[in-house]
Amino acid sequence: MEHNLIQFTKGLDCQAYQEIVDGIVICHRDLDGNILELPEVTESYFVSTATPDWAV
Amino acid sequence: MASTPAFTTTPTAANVPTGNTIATANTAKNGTGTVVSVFTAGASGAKVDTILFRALGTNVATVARVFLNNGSTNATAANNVLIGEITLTATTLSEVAALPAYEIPINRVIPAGYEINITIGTTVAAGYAISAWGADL
Repeated sequence: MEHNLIQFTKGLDCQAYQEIVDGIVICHRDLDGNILELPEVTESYFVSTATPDWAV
Repeated sequence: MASTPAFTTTPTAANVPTGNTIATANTAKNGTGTVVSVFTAGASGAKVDTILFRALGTNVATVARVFLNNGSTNATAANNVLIGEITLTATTLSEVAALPAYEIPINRVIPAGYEINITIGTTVAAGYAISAWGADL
Protein backbone atom coordinates (compact mmCIF):
# COMPACT_ATOMS: atom_id res chain seq x y z
CA MET A 1 0.00 0.00 0.00
CA GLU A 2 1.29 3.43 -0.92
CA HIS A 3 0.33 6.92 0.14
CA ASN A 4 0.44 10.32 -1.48
CA LEU A 5 0.08 13.47 0.57
CA ILE A 6 -2.24 15.97 -1.11
CA GLN A 7 -3.57 19.43 -0.29
CA PHE A 8 -7.22 20.22 -0.81
CA THR A 9 -7.96 23.67 -2.16
CA LYS A 10 -11.74 23.38 -2.54
CA GLY A 11 -14.34 21.34 -0.71
CA LEU A 12 -12.00 20.69 2.21
CA ASP A 13 -9.28 22.89 3.66
CA CYS A 14 -6.71 20.39 4.84
CA GLN A 15 -4.03 17.98 3.80
CA ALA A 16 -4.89 14.34 3.36
CA TYR A 17 -3.37 11.06 2.28
CA GLN A 18 -4.49 9.17 -0.78
CA GLU A 19 -4.40 5.46 0.09
CA ILE A 20 -3.27 3.66 -3.06
CA VAL A 21 -3.54 -0.01 -3.99
CA ASP A 22 -2.31 -1.11 -7.41
CA GLY A 23 -2.33 2.47 -8.64
CA ILE A 24 -5.93 3.08 -7.57
CA VAL A 25 -6.86 5.57 -4.84
CA ILE A 26 -9.13 3.53 -2.59
CA CYS A 27 -9.80 6.20 0.06
CA HIS A 28 -8.58 9.43 1.57
CA ARG A 29 -7.40 9.68 5.18
CA ASP A 30 -6.67 12.67 7.34
CA LEU A 31 -3.25 13.15 8.89
CA ASP A 32 -4.25 10.96 11.85
CA GLY A 33 -5.30 8.09 9.62
CA ASN A 34 -9.08 8.56 9.83
CA ILE A 35 -11.05 8.00 6.63
CA LEU A 36 -12.33 11.24 5.14
CA GLU A 37 -15.77 11.65 3.62
CA LEU A 38 -15.29 13.92 0.64
CA PRO A 39 -17.87 16.44 -0.55
CA GLU A 40 -19.08 16.13 -4.13
CA VAL A 41 -16.74 18.79 -5.47
CA THR A 42 -13.13 19.04 -4.39
CA GLU A 43 -9.94 20.41 -5.85
CA SER A 44 -6.53 19.28 -4.71
CA TYR A 45 -2.90 19.09 -5.68
CA PHE A 46 -0.08 16.64 -5.05
CA VAL A 47 2.37 17.41 -2.22
CA SER A 48 4.63 14.40 -1.73
CA THR A 49 4.83 10.63 -1.54
CA ALA A 50 5.54 10.67 2.20
CA THR A 51 4.42 7.60 4.13
CA PRO A 52 2.40 8.51 7.24
CA ASP A 53 3.61 7.27 10.63
CA TRP A 54 0.38 5.34 11.21
CA ALA A 55 0.96 3.36 8.00
CA VAL A 56 4.46 2.16 8.91
CA MET B 1 -27.47 27.03 -45.26
CA ALA B 2 -24.00 27.44 -46.71
CA SER B 3 -23.73 26.64 -50.42
CA THR B 4 -20.07 25.67 -50.22
CA PRO B 5 -18.35 23.34 -47.78
CA ALA B 6 -16.11 24.82 -45.12
CA PHE B 7 -12.58 23.52 -44.99
CA THR B 8 -10.03 24.02 -42.31
CA THR B 9 -7.42 26.63 -43.11
CA THR B 10 -3.76 26.40 -42.23
CA PRO B 11 -3.35 24.19 -39.18
CA THR B 12 -1.70 26.27 -36.53
CA ALA B 13 -0.54 25.95 -32.99
CA ALA B 14 -1.64 29.53 -32.36
CA ASN B 15 -4.92 28.43 -30.82
CA VAL B 16 -3.36 25.54 -28.91
CA PRO B 17 -1.60 26.80 -25.80
CA THR B 18 1.71 25.03 -25.50
CA GLY B 19 3.20 23.44 -22.43
CA ASN B 20 -0.17 22.35 -21.05
CA THR B 21 0.09 19.93 -18.18
CA ILE B 22 -2.38 18.82 -15.55
CA ALA B 23 -1.84 17.17 -12.18
CA THR B 24 -4.38 18.83 -9.91
CA ALA B 25 -7.82 17.35 -9.40
CA ASN B 26 -11.18 19.03 -9.89
CA THR B 27 -14.16 16.76 -9.32
CA ALA B 28 -16.79 19.20 -10.62
CA LYS B 29 -18.84 17.70 -13.43
CA ASN B 30 -20.06 21.04 -14.75
CA GLY B 31 -16.78 22.54 -15.94
CA THR B 32 -16.46 25.09 -13.15
CA GLY B 33 -13.40 25.58 -10.99
CA THR B 34 -9.78 25.05 -11.95
CA VAL B 35 -9.43 23.84 -15.55
CA VAL B 36 -6.69 23.69 -18.16
CA SER B 37 -7.70 25.39 -21.41
CA VAL B 38 -6.18 23.55 -24.37
CA PHE B 39 -7.89 24.98 -27.43
CA THR B 40 -9.59 28.21 -28.50
CA ALA B 41 -11.47 28.49 -31.77
CA GLY B 42 -10.56 31.32 -34.14
CA ALA B 43 -12.82 34.01 -35.63
CA SER B 44 -14.60 31.61 -37.99
CA GLY B 45 -14.78 28.66 -35.65
CA ALA B 46 -12.60 25.60 -35.64
CA LYS B 47 -12.58 21.86 -36.10
CA VAL B 48 -11.18 20.01 -33.12
CA ASP B 49 -9.96 16.57 -34.10
CA THR B 50 -8.51 14.97 -31.02
CA ILE B 51 -7.02 15.54 -27.59
CA LEU B 52 -3.90 13.64 -26.54
CA PHE B 53 -2.77 12.86 -23.00
CA ARG B 54 0.77 11.65 -22.23
CA ALA B 55 1.83 10.66 -18.74
CA LEU B 56 4.85 12.53 -17.41
CA GLY B 57 5.81 9.85 -14.89
CA THR B 58 4.24 7.93 -12.04
CA ASN B 59 0.53 8.64 -11.61
CA VAL B 60 -2.38 6.99 -9.87
CA ALA B 61 -5.38 6.17 -12.00
CA THR B 62 -7.71 9.02 -12.77
CA VAL B 63 -10.27 10.21 -15.29
CA ALA B 64 -9.84 13.09 -17.71
CA ARG B 65 -12.90 15.17 -18.51
CA VAL B 66 -13.31 17.38 -21.56
CA PHE B 67 -15.58 20.41 -21.39
CA LEU B 68 -16.72 22.72 -24.15
CA ASN B 69 -16.89 26.32 -22.93
CA ASN B 70 -18.67 29.09 -24.81
CA GLY B 71 -15.85 31.59 -24.35
CA SER B 72 -17.33 33.22 -21.27
CA THR B 73 -16.24 32.53 -17.72
CA ASN B 74 -16.13 28.86 -16.85
CA ALA B 75 -17.21 29.78 -13.31
CA THR B 76 -20.80 29.77 -14.61
CA ALA B 77 -21.93 26.20 -15.11
CA ALA B 78 -24.28 27.18 -17.94
CA ASN B 79 -21.25 28.22 -20.02
CA ASN B 80 -19.82 24.69 -20.02
CA VAL B 81 -20.84 21.24 -21.13
CA LEU B 82 -19.12 17.90 -20.59
CA ILE B 83 -18.36 16.38 -23.99
CA GLY B 84 -15.87 13.62 -23.25
CA GLU B 85 -14.20 11.44 -20.65
CA ILE B 86 -11.40 8.92 -20.72
CA THR B 87 -9.89 6.69 -18.05
CA LEU B 88 -6.20 7.33 -17.47
CA THR B 89 -4.77 4.19 -15.91
CA ALA B 90 -2.00 4.17 -13.33
CA THR B 91 1.47 4.73 -14.75
CA THR B 92 4.97 4.08 -13.44
CA LEU B 93 7.91 6.14 -14.58
CA SER B 94 10.36 4.26 -16.76
CA GLU B 95 13.40 5.20 -18.79
CA VAL B 96 13.27 2.01 -20.83
CA ALA B 97 9.58 1.56 -21.59
CA ALA B 98 7.11 3.95 -23.12
CA LEU B 99 4.17 5.06 -21.05
CA PRO B 100 0.81 4.72 -22.76
CA ALA B 101 -0.81 7.58 -24.64
CA TYR B 102 -4.51 8.32 -24.28
CA GLU B 103 -6.49 9.99 -26.99
CA ILE B 104 -10.04 11.34 -27.01
CA PRO B 105 -11.45 11.81 -30.51
CA ILE B 106 -13.54 14.98 -30.65
CA ASN B 107 -14.24 15.47 -34.39
CA ARG B 108 -16.50 18.44 -33.80
CA VAL B 109 -16.76 21.91 -35.32
CA ILE B 110 -16.99 24.50 -32.58
CA PRO B 111 -18.08 28.16 -32.84
CA ALA B 112 -15.74 31.15 -32.79
CA GLY B 113 -14.26 31.82 -29.40
CA TYR B 114 -15.35 28.54 -27.88
CA GLU B 115 -12.75 26.74 -25.80
CA ILE B 116 -11.89 23.20 -24.81
CA ASN B 117 -11.14 22.82 -21.10
CA ILE B 118 -9.74 19.80 -19.30
CA THR B 119 -9.94 18.51 -15.74
CA ILE B 120 -8.92 15.30 -13.98
CA GLY B 121 -10.80 13.61 -11.16
CA THR B 122 -7.94 12.53 -8.91
CA THR B 123 -4.77 14.34 -7.98
CA VAL B 124 -1.77 12.67 -9.59
CA ALA B 125 1.91 13.01 -8.83
CA ALA B 126 3.67 13.51 -12.15
CA GLY B 127 0.80 14.79 -14.26
CA TYR B 128 -0.05 14.61 -17.94
CA ALA B 129 0.96 16.63 -20.95
CA ILE B 130 -2.13 17.61 -22.92
CA SER B 131 -2.25 18.61 -26.56
CA ALA B 132 -5.29 19.42 -28.66
CA TRP B 133 -5.20 18.93 -32.42
CA GLY B 134 -7.35 20.77 -34.89
CA ALA B 135 -7.50 23.84 -37.08
CA ASP B 136 -9.44 27.03 -37.55
CA LEU B 137 -12.02 27.21 -40.30
